Amino acid sequence: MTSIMNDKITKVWLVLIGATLFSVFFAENSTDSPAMILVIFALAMLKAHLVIVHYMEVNEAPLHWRRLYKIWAIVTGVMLMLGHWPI
Amino acid sequence: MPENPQIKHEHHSENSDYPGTSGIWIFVFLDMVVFLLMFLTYLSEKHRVPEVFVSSQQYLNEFFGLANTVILLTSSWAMAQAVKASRIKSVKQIKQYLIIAIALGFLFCINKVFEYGIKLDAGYSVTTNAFFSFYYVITGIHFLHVIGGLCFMCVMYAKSTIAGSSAAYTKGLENVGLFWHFVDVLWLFIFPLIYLTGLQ
Repeated sequence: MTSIMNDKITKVWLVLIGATLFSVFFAENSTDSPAMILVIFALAMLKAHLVIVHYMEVNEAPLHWRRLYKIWAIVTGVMLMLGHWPI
Repeated sequence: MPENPQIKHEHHSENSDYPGTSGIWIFVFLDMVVFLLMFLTYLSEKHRVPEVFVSSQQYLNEFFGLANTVILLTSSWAMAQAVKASRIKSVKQIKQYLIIAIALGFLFCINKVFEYGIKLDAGYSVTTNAFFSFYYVITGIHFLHVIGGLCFMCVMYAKSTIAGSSAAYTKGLENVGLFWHFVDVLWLFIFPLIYLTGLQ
């Protein structure tokens, strides 16, 4: 049990779960719409980055995949933020 | 028939030092681009009829989405542990972690079917309005990916007893793992897009 709790995969999972719970809490309690949009999609982008780097192990993949996968997460997160901004 | 030297070279590179094979990295990336286009189309429609989207999102329960996020993240954790176990040739651990990943995948499906049932009973179908069309299409295509991932994981579980300690099995499990984590990554964006923005 101790070895599972100490490994990188589990530590990343704890961060992912914490970020998920925080994003729901923030979305439910925020009165500021732009801040809410910024926070929930920034957290989604961070979580996607963590899964891509630590679970998919993109840093072990060839350079072009490393770049493309990380850029996809950033582009998706930023597009979703910008797409919701004026609403 | 003479062997094509180029094909031989490509084949040999598949037993390379990085996780999975080049084919899965290509397939997953192309699928990611398709989903990005779906998200952009959703945003375009939301800008056209924002009141339809905002009022329809009120009928979603974010706790279904939250539960499925936790389920998929935990399933991804188990899959990553299974791949790690495969690299040290521990067939017992591979089976243990794959069972957890598969069970959680099925739990995701049950939760999703239950959620669809509630929506359909309340009269919200794919033809109700633009929002519900996107809701069913985006989550439905993602759901098909979950079912596909579950099938692959079940095959890898069945193969683990006889082939679990081979290098080819580890490569196959890495491929399935990459696909399963990608399904997780997609949901990480679908959840705030469909459910959480409705809370604003």
